[in-house]
Amino acid sequence: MLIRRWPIKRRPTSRWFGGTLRRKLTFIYSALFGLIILMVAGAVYISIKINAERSVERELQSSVNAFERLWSLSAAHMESNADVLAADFGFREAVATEDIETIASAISNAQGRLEGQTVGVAFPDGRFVSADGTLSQLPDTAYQALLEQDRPSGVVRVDNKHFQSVAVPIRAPVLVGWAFFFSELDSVRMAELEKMSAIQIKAEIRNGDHASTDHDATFRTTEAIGASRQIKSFTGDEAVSLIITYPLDAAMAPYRPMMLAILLFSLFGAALLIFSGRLVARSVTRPIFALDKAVQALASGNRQPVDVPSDDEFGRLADSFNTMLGDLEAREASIVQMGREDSETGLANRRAMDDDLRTRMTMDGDASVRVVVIRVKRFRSVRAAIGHGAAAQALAVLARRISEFADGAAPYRISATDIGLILDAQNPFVRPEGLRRLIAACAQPAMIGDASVDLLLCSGIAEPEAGRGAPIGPVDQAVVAADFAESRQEPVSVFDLAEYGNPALTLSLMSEMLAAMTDGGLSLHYQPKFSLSENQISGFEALIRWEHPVRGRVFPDSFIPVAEETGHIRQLTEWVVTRAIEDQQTLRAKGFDLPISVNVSGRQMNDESFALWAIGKVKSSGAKLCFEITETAVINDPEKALRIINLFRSTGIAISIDDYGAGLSSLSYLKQIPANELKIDKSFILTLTEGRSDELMIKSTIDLAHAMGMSVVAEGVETEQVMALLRDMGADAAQGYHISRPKPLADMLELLGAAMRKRETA
Amino acid sequence: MLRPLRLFAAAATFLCLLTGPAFAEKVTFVVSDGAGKPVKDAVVMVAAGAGAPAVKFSWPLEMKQENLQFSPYVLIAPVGSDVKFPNLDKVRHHVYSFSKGNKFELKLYGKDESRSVKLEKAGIAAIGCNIHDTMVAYIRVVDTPYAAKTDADGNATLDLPADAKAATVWHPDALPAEVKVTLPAKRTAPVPVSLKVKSHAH
Ligand SMILES: [Cu+2]
Repeated sequence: MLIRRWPIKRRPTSRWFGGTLRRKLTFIYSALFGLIILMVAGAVYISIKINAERSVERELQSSVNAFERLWSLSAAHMESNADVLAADFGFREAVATEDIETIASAISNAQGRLEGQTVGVAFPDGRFVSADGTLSQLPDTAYQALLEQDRPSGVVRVDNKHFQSVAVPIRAPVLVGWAFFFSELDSVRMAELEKMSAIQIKAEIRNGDHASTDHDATFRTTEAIGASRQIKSFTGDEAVSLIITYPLDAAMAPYRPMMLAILLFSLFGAALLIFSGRLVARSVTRPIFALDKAVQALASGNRQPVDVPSDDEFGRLADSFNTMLGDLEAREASIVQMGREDSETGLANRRAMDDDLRTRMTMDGDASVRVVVIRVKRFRSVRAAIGHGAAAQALAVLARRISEFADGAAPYRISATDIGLILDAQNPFVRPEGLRRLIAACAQPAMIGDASVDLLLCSGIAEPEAGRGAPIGPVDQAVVAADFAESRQEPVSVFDLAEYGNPALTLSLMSEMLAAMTDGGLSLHYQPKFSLSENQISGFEALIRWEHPVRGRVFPDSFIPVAEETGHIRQLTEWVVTRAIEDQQTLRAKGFDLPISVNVSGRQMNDESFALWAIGKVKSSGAKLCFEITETAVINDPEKALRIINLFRSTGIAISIDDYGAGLSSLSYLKQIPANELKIDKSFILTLTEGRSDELMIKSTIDLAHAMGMSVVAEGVETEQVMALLRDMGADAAQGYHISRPKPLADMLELLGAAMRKRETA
Repeated sequence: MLRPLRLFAAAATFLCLLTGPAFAEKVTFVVSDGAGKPVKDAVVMVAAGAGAPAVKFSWPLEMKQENLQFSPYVLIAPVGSDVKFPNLDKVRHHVYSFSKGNKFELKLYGKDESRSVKLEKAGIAAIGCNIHDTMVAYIRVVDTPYAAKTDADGNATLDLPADAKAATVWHPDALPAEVKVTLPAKRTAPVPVSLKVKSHAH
């Protein structure tokens, strides 16, 4: 499937923050609203609280002020009472004369008159007389206050009770004592104060703590607001305060209904919002959900169009999705098509052939089918010469011809060089003679643009039933058969399982080849080149022969390509060069100093280390060698190949262009290669006497080669007549069965010896 | 009347000669407060030894009421003497003293009326008026002829016998009210006395 999941790592979804978009939206809306409500409620609460506290503080302040006024009123009242007592002549006399009994009666009389007040008298020495006539000593602090202040007044603490007290001096006329008036600051007094306030305050007198010199001090605890006011103490150096408190609870009480209303309103609003948020979120997410579902379905190979009727972004997105879905289908179909099609020729490809063959075999059985492969030989050279596009076109032309000839059988392009056919077992073209006919019929050169492309064909046949035990399928079997045909230079070959043998063949072939180099299985045969001008042998071409102990003769076409593929070609070439040099020395020893040509694979022409090795070998032995290469040797990396060719030339190794005219006829390459010699392919020469128009072409080729400074060797010379023709056309040398087949060195020596004797006798 | 006085003087002189310290010396006391200000109305007393003359003073023994004030503020009176309390004001006064031993009360009496009181005990009589609280005065009742009060300059001079050793200085508003002063051997220079006096209404 083409739909790729986004490579986003999904975060683990939590219940509230992850999950569906709907939940997220609902949550975010609700959370935002909740936050706003909270902030509003908070602001309201704070302002209410501040307001409430302020008004309570004001109330407390005024209570404190009221207390202060009450306090001074009360003090003034007590002082005037005390003054009245202290001014009484009889009382003064009693005090002056320390008449305790009279004093006690006088003060208890005063106490009776003044409710809630306690009266006493202190003597200048600090003795204190109370209403019951008992004498006690004043505390030092109180006594000191009497001595230092004329009329001390303030709070005094006795037995943990607080009293408001005043003392006035009694003079008769000198100071004879002080009249004391006390009034307890008890719960009754505090209650009076509390009653005066509009709010439910609590008043108390405290020592030490909470005393503040700041008259307007208000304070706050966790539960209450308070105000404190320092009260003058009787002794003047005691810290005494009035503390008035008001519970915060009570301060907030009047606002409670209002706050409750806000809370209820907020809750109602939040509920409403969650509900409507869900509705909105649902309307937003429904199309997204539909899209999500469709995409998921698509990902699992299920194509469903999305139905989102709205005309907003979601609607457009759905439309786009549906359009995309359509495009996707079309593209997928074309991809499937492409998968079955060869892009160069438009023919069905190997995959299509495999599929179709499988279908046929399943439907009709293995026995009813035959597979045929028709190969264009040397297609690589063709392609290198005319380009990929034109070569493919040529192949397409061939395929069309085959199809026409084979009653409309569908051709497949199964590789660069091979056309495949699936034919009925009864089809005449599945038999070698029939197929031979077909090949012959289709082998005329194809016209691609202005160029004529030769199609040299061979073919292979496979019978699926017969090849059932093979490790490769019927198509590959037909390909292998075509390989055999090509290597044996036969037009048709039928796949033979026994012949095909072990699938590890190629590997064992190479190891056997390496072994053959030393055990004599591999040998060199020589074919003489006959100089047409001198009428004598002017050199030899070394040709490799392999006599396999089991397989018999193994043709170079079947193991050299393998050696090229597996990289053993270097060793093979080195072996050939070494052996050729040895043989040349043998020839020299017999008095024949003739050049020997060695076929060098195009691959070696890009191998600098091989070049250096070969040059070293030639220099050290003083050999006279010629390397026969095909034009294709310079195709892969022309610059490098030409450099190496020049290197060979400069060290005396001659270069010959082999198989000229077979498939490739590119003068442009020819021009570049600084060759000494041009060998015209035997396919031209063999037909020379048949009266074809090749004669002119050969003549012009010879002239052209001469113009480029090359000598010309004609291969495939089989008759005296051809040889005469070639001589007339100006060819320099001939090679072929007419002169000699390739034979071992000994035969060559014999041939040379015979020729020499013949010349000597002549 | 002249004769008996002379006789009395001659007898006194005789007595003096008999009792030893026949030579009387004038000794001046200068009383000042801590800051060097002269203290008025301080009473300087030296105890009478054997052979001292009778206790008699040159000033009138009376405590006038004038302008709603007692005058003088301090009066020195011999023990057992009668002190007169003439009222020179138009209003009436109710003079009293609750001082121990010299307690008395002169109920309301009017202008140009005079009462007298016999002061029986040596010591201090603080005098007040029941009607006017601001009226305060003191009578120092003494049993010695060697007593005098300082003038506005704080000076008081006594004719003292040569064997007088120490003096007592008292002022009603001083704290402490009394100090003892040891007399120097050489009596030519004034004797300085320091007395801490609270400021009073006068
Ligand atoms: Cu009076």
